[in-house]
Amino acid sequence: MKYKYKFHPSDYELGENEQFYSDMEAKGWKLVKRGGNLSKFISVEPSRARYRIEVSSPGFLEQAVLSEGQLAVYEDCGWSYVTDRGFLYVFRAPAGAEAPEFYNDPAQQAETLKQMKRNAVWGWAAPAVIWGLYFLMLISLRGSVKIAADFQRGLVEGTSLYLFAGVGLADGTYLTVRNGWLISRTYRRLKKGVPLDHNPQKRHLAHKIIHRSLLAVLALLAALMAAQWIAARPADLPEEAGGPYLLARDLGWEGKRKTFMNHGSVVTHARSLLAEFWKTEEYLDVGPDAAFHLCQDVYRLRNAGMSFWMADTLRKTSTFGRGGGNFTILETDAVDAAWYNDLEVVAVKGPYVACVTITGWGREHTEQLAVCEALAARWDAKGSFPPLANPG
Amino acid sequence: MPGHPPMTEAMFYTLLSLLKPGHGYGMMQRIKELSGGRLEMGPGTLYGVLSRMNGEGLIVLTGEEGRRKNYAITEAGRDALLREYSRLKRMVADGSILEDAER
Repeated sequence: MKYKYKFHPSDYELGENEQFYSDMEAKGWKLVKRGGNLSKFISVEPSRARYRIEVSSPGFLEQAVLSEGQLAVYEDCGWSYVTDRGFLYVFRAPAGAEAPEFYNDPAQQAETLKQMKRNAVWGWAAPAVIWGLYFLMLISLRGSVKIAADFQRGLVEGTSLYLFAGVGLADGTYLTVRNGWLISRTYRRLKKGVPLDHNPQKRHLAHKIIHRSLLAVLALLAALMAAQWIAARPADLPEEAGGPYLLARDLGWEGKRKTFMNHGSVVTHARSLLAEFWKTEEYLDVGPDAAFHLCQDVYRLRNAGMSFWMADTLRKTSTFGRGGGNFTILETDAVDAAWYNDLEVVAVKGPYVACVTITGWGREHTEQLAVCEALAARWDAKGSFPPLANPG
Repeated sequence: MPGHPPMTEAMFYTLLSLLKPGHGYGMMQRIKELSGGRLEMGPGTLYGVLSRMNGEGLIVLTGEEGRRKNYAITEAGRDALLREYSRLKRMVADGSILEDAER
C-alpha cells in the first residue's frame, strides 16, 4: 500500500478542494483522510470520480457534524462519505454514477455557509488580540523601561524566535483575511443564485507564492532555532577562556571552583542572527571568610553600530541596575565606554558589549577598571583568547 | 394569504411525497416520479427542507431503519399542502386568460 500526503486548498475554497481530489484520483491517488493542511491519499488505478463537499452548519456552541440521517440520504443517492475535517465533509461518486448534485437552489446552499462565514470573520479575533497585545506592549515600552529592555535583549538573543513569531503572525493574519474574503464571496454568489463552481480554473498563483514562501521562511527559522538551541547547552567553564569573556584569574583571583546554590561554574555559548554571545558563571572558594562570584553576559554583535544600544539594554536589564538608573559612567580609555555600580560593569568596545557582575564577600569592590582593561585585552585578541597577564 | 407564505417548489413536492410516509431517498425517488422526472431533488436540498418542516411541525419523524429516518406528514402539514394547492389552482385559473389571449 503506497500512501501520499499533499497540501490541500484551504477549507474556504470549496470548489478548489473538490477539483483537487478529482484530479488526484485521475492521477491514481484516492483520498483517504483530510487533515488540517495535508490530505492523505492511497495509490489506486487512475479513475475519474466526482468529489463534493458538504459544509456542516452547527448552531452556536454545537459540534460541526452532519447527522447520521443526513449522511444516510447522501449515501442512498450515490455519494460515498470519505472523510471530514472541521466544517467540511467530503463525498465521492464514481464518474457516470447518477448521484445528483447536493443542492437545487444555490441560495439554500448559501445558508450552510453561514456558520463557516461567521467562523472566518471571528477568525480575525485571534490575530487581532495578538496584534493588540503587541501594540499594547510597544506602547508600554515608553512607560516600562524594563519590559522594553527585556524585549530588546530577547530580540538580540533569540532573533530567529522573534522572526518566527512575526512571520507566523503575518501568515496567520494573511490567511485569516483571505479566508474571510473567500467565504464571503462564495456566500454572496450563492445567495445571488450563482451555483458553486465545482471546476474552478483559477490557480491562485499569487496566494501559493505568498503562503508557501512564508511557510518556507517559518520552516527555515524553526530549523535555525532548533540548531541554535541544541548548540547552546551549558558546558563546564574551561581553565583557559574559550571566548571573549573573563575568568576569575584574569582579574587576579585564584581559588578552587565550587558550586553555589546548586550552580556550578559553566559557560553557555550561543548564536543568534544578530549576535554571538557567551554567558558565564564562575564561583570560587577564595578563603575561609571570602567568596568570589563572577557572572558575565558577553556579546559580539554582527553590527558594531548596535553596541551602544545593547549596552543601554544591558544596563536596564542588569540584576542590580534598577532599570539602568543605578549606573555611573566609568572614566577609562581601555574601552569605548563603560558604566558601573557597586556590583556590575557594562563595557563596550567595537562590536563587543559585556555586563560583568562580581559578587561575593570578604573583599573590596575595586575591580571595575581592572574588568574594563581585562575585557579590552581579551577583545583586542580578535578571535584568539590567550591567558591574560595576572593583574595581581 | 396572510400568515402563510407561498411554499417553495421543494417544500411542496416534499410534502406531496410524504402523503405516503418514507425515508429520504424514497422521497427523492417519489418526487422525481411525481414531477414526471422534471424535479430531481438534491440530498442537501431535501435534508434542509426536512429539517425546516420538521421544526415547523409540518412533518414528523416516525422511526429509524438503521441510519435512515422515516418521516410522515402531520395534520398541519396536510393543511398547509391543501392551502398551497388551492392557491396554485387559483393562480392557474387566473392565468387561464392567457390561453384566451393566445386564441
